[in-house]
Amino acid sequence: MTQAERWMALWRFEWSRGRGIRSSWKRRLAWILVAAGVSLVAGLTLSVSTSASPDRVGVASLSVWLFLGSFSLASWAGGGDGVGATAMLPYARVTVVCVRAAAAYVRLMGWLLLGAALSAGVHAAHGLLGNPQVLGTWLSLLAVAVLAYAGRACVSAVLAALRSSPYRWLGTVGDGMWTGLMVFIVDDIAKRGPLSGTHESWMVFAAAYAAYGLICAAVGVRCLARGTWLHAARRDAAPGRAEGVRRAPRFSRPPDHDALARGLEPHVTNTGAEMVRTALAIFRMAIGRALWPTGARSVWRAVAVHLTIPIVAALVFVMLQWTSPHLHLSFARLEGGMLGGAWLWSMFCGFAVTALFDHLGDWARGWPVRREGVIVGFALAENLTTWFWVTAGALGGLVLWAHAAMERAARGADLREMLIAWAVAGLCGTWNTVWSASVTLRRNRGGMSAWFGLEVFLAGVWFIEGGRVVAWLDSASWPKVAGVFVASLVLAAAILALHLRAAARALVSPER
Amino acid sequence: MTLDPPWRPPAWELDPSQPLYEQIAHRIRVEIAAARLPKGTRLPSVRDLAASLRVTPNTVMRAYAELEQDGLLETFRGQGTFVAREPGVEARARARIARQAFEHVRRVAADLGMRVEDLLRLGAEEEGGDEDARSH
Amino acid sequence: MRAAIECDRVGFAYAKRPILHEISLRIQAGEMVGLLGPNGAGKTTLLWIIAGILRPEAGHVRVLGQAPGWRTLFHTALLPERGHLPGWLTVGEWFTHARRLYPDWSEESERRLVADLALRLDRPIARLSRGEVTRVGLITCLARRAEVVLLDEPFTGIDPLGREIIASAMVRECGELGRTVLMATHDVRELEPLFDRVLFLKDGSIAADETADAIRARGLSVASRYREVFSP
Repeated sequence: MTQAERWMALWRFEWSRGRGIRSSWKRRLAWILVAAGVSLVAGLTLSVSTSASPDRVGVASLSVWLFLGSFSLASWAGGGDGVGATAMLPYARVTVVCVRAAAAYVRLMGWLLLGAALSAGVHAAHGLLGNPQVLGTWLSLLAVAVLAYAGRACVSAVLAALRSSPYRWLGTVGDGMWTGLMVFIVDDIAKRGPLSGTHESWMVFAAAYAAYGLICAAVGVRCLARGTWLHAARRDAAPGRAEGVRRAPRFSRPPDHDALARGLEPHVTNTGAEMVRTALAIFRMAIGRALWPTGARSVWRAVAVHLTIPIVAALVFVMLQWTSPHLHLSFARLEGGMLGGAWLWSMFCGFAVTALFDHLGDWARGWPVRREGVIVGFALAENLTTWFWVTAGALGGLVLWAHAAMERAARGADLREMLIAWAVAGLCGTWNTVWSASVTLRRNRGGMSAWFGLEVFLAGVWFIEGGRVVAWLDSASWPKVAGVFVASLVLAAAILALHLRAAARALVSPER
Repeated sequence: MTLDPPWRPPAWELDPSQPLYEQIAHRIRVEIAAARLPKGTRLPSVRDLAASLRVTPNTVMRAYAELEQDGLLETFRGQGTFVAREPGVEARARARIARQAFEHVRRVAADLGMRVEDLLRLGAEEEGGDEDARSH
Repeated sequence: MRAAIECDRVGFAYAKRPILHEISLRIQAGEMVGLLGPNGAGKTTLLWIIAGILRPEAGHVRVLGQAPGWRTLFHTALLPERGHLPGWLTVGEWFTHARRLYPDWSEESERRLVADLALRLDRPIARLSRGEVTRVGLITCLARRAEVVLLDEPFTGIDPLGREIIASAMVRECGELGRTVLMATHDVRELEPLFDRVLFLKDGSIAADETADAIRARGLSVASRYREVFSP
């Protein structure tokens, strides 16, 4: 067997992850259509909110599409980034990582080409192909994606190998950087005023991210050779489960069964009270794992670690806006960011709840308590990190406001709006976690892609219009605010009750 | 030259608290002594016998080696293991089994503090008595 | 006879918890050896280290004279305790990939094993039962001509008749001279006729290292000896 044949064999194996039993061509087509729809709607919203002319619909849509590319990578990768199947093969660890990264990169490039073609179509429809600003931005976006996707591919290739190693934070930071890069670009495109044709700063950021990806890959090769990831893999593996079943990295820590025993005796007769009691017991049981998935450490240390990245992000924001002449606008963007970010983040918290149920399997089904309460309890625990993010954002805003106050440029309304944004983002995030968990637990595939599109769309709306919503809440009269509050409470409770009951039923008799 | 298909051993139950190679050697010896395995019969390969008995190949190899040392088996390179063709193979196998049986009887007699002859007579009487009881 | 596997004072700890301590052993080429011990004794970790996918923290390991690493995976086949099979493929697709991925793959053995173990090739691996996953893993190990075979609980989830079939297949496929087999298990009774030698692993150290015949010469089965070593 020649060296080339051996490489080819490994390539074919890694490539096969993409087409597996879980992703038929129908589902892939559906996902592409959903992503295209979401991108287009988000692009339209962005371009309407910035200027009257629709000249940036194409580029705005493309940027959203490129962001969605990393989700498509996750879904194509067979739902898991498991490295175990490859680690047993007689290949150099560098080769393994390179081939994994190359397969991911080729997939992302396919996504990029598709996006380029679709956005070119949008431009052609508007007769904008000759516009130098639009063309420049479009080309810059493609160039940025070529660079940044390289980093993305590297990071995703080693995510599993980094788990349970001392360098697992590299993956988290990588995810954060990726989101940061995309928010940065979307934000730049959504700026009011004429569109710039050159975007050096994007390229610098993307190059930095690509370099970061290479560092991650190098560390990943080392971790793979040392094999510490095996211990995490052993703790995670549900008995009899082959690799590739979706399993997020935070579910390695077993839940605290003592807390379960303490809180779960089913002798309460009132169903509502029973549900609340169950939720609280489950919350207590799950909180340790939600905060520190890989081992038993002190809760305070866990909180500190979880707060690090949000606080760093808040600091970066404060630094960027320190000398901004339009502080009020900065606050509006921060509020939008908090609301939209909390919405997106809490959606993933919901995924985490579903993965936790997968991990617990029949154990969770066998608990003699109301399933609705179990779902809510796990969701509340997973959602804590949303509050961390929102709180860090609010603290950053507070620092900025204090700075403005010293220069006598602060307005009381900004502070009030910030607090409102904090509360709304936290509450909506909590609600969204429960919703996302109950939707994903039902495993209704068709419904899920539509729901996912709606989630991303709502997050986009929050990002863009969040500032305005908060300003309205601050300025509107009390009866109006109270009316809106009660109406949304009723609506939210109704939607949640419906979905929770369906999810609980699906848990008892899973449709596989 | 074409070989006959090798002899297939019956499914022997082995006792895990006694050396397995001894038990296998003993079973084959009994087969030879009882002439169920005639001279020149080809035995299964080490691998096949090990697979059908579910023991390690080394165990079978050791059993074959012991029987070869006793002159009951002979191995031809590239052809396999056969029951030795030289005359008196059955008699040798029988003699070995008889010696083992006798040793066993002597051990039992020593344990009981009896003479071997007395033990054998007692055994014969008991068996006779059983047969009497059955015939009545 | 040359040693196929050699460990010299191997130690390993995870998250400050010692797992293996001063493990020294020598396994000759062609031997079938049982690595016996209760849950948590460190059997799996030792197999990972010998396979070269986990690096020991202390001591030295030699597999066929080489330090374990990805290169020794050419001659080493490992059946992991669970998982690590590509769940996104069907059984047949995985074997097609394995043919190309392992230079020492034997299609003839593969066909024989698939027939013996009564495996359906069109089922996705992710939907297999526990016993079927073990079978697929065993075929992946045994269809290779690897000189060293490491099996971690090869009977997990398999019914008694299936165990007999697998034991036969295991002996047949490993019966060629020079194949060394190390089996980690706590199912002593089922597997004991398949051991030439047994290593008893207790709390991360080798508590006893004896040939099966030496144990049986004392009128003990390996299972009774296991009870002797591990009962408090």
